[in-house]
Amino acid sequence: MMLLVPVILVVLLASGLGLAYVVGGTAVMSFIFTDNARYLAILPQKVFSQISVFALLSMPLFILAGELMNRGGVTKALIDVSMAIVGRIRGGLGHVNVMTSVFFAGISGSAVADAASLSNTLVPAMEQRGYTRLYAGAITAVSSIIGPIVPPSIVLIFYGAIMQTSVAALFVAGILPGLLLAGALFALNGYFAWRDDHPRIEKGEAPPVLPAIGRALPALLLPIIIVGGIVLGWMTPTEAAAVAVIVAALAALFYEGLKAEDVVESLRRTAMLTGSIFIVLSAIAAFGHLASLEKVPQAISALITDLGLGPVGFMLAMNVLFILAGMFLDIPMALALLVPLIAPVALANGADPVHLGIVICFNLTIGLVSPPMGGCLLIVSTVTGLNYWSLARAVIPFVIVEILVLGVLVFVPEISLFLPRAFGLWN
Amino acid sequence: MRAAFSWLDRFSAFLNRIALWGAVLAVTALVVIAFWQAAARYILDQPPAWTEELARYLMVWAGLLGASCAFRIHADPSLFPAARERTDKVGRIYAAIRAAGAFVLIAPILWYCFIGVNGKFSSGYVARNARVSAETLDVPMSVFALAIPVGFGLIMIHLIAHLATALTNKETQ
Amino acid sequence: EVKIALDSAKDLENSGTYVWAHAFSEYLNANGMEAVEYERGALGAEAEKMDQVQQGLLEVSVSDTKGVGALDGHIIPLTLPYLFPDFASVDRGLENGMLDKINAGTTPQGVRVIAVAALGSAAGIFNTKKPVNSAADMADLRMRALDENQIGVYKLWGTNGTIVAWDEVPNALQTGIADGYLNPPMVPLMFGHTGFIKYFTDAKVGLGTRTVIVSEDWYQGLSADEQKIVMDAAAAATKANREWLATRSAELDKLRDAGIEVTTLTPEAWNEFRALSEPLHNMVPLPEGALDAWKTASGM
Ligand code: NA
Ligand code: NA
Repeated sequence: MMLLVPVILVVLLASGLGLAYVVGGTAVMSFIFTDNARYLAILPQKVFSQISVFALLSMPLFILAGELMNRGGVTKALIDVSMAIVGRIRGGLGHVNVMTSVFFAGISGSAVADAASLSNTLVPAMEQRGYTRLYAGAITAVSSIIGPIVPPSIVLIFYGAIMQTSVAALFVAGILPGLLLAGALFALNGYFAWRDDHPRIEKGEAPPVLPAIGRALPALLLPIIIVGGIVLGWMTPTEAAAVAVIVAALAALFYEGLKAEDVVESLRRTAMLTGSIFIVLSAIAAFGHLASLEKVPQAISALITDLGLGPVGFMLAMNVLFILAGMFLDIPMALALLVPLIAPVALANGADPVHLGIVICFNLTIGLVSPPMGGCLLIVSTVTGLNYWSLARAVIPFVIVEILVLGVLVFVPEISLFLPRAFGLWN
Repeated sequence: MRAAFSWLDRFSAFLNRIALWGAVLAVTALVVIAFWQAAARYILDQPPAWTEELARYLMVWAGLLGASCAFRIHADPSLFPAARERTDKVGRIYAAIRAAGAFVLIAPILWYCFIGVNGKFSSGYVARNARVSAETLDVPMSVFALAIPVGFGLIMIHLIAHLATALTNKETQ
Repeated sequence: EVKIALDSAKDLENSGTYVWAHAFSEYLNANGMEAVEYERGALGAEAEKMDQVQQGLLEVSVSDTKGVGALDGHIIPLTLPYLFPDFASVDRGLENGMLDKINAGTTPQGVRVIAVAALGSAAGIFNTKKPVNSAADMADLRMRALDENQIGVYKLWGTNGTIVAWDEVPNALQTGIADGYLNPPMVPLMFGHTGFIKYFTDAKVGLGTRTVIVSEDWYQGLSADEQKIVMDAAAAATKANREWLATRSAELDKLRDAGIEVTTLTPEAWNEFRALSEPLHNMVPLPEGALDAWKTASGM
């Protein structure tokens, strides 16, 4: 009977049903097929326990902070300050795109929010100044994945909750890898600017540096409050997230102001996004319980151990697995499904939980800009009207660079671990 | 028949508006309480003990109401979202499959919320929680546990309404 | 198959509750009842394990004593500071009627308590700042509290508590949101907190316990012979657990090896902590007469 499960899975997927319901429905069928139907009685409590987790509290709060910032004119202030700093270099607006994403990353925990916001604003501006729309869209998509790597990060909160690893340490660990990624994208944009003779911003066009920084200050303050507050011990990550919401609302008031309907819409989107993620968690947990009853994790870790890959071979295999997972699955889904199975084996092989978290999250975010399920590609192509598959081809050189950066992060754990150790957040 | 189906869709939309407001209120309360927890650490000598627990349970209410709203507007990530747009014969088959898939997940959750393994209402999930008090709040846990049947009950209503709408599409064309 | 949900790593040297669980499952297996141990967390968190036991979907769980206390408050005194001098008094109390009193409250809710397992040596005061020799030394420490009861203890000691969820404790201690916590000696070693916890005071605050529960539906479905095997297995496991506890004098040396400075209290200082804490016994909500019943039953 269990042979029917893959068939059911494929049929449900093809019908367009949400992934979480596909997994949940398949899990319930698996309980029935394995003669464990009476254990379905655990489901209500399982759902409640999975989603009433303290470590997840900061997730809706950071989502909300990002939503409020997005609607309050913050993006424009960030673009202005980036223009003032890097706009005058050759390929200026490409650099501006990357740098705005770095600033944006310090506020928002989500890559999709960044991609949506910049496709709307920067892509038309770049096109006006002589970039092809394809190039503008491509660099918007690939630089948006800095978002979940630089703190705050919904993906890292999620990993921390699953692995019971300090979110504070994970946040601080993401800073240098995020900047390294930004540096690599700057370099590649510089190369394309030289090869294809991309324009720079005319002298009069770039806003003066100091006033631009002044105007962006409320927006730039937020990452400092969040990361500084956590590092200096003023507040826990959860409390920092609540403070971020309040500061985001104040900063938005400082810019274009927030209408009541903006606030309500932000709250709605926060609840819905949180809810979608909760259903994913519940569905995976149902599968997880069945796997526990049937002792599947033990079998998998024995299987991996039997393969005798060695530490390097294991790391490579794990990365390939996660890149593939990132291509096909939603990030929370991939994390909830794979981390409980793979991480214990990785830790047994001597991996550090914080380093592992950064590597896994970096890895999965690459899936956002690669087909078939590239969430950020999808957003950029929707907003700009670019063909999805041409966009997917245009990002290839950037994705290759991102995979190279991933390789550096895998083999040089110090890049991730230096800051959390320096601040005494991790041993 | 078609009138009944269209009434069903309006009913689902009406419940969805209420759920959306409930979710908005829950998220707002969540922000206020989490912020208060950070502030109270510095303002009060003894920060309150109940903030953490209440914030977690508000998140459950917000999330499950939000999940039902996301389901109603097809906002959950899907591998083949285009399949939801089809209104032809294949589209109707897809709609039936989607309804069946979600039903299989939700039906046992709802059933066991109210009925125990031994078949008694008093052994169901909600009844069990009614007998236990929350840790720091002086209310029975069922106040929060109720979010499960409410959230999934809403999803069940939406899924029936979706199916009904998809099937009546045939008649209108 | 008898499923046993563990609460700790399978570590026969450092985990007292695993010593209990392992002795229990060995006894069952040796007497013809197949028992299987499930890793910590494999069948879910505390609330989920409780839920499964209540429904008869999980046979045996090593559970949080406070969680069992939510079903019946007669077990709550086990969690109070400076009440029981040792496990011998707990065992006397359970034998002389307290176990029956607890089960009278929990069995209608599907849960039967069969044993109380020792986690390890008595809890003491850990902190990141300075050696604590008396209650007065704690005045400027902000202590992590688990719940309102612990906040109450700190208040009686003349210091402040702040509630921090266990997941955020490492972060809170490293960044100074909290300066210390109350726990049995092995906790910082088992959770990797030795990088920032620097001081331990052996204040012998209270007993670290876990409560072993079985599903009442399952238990009632067993034959009289099987029920006897289960209760004998519990007795053997409790014996193994108490014998293991007697070997734990070296725990403080392990703390020293990990670089934690250990302070032993003078009898006067210990008595001061004890006297300061005792008012709490009457502040915590308990079933009518539960405290006196324990005192009589344990001969305290
Ligand atoms: Na971020
Ligand atoms: Na960008």
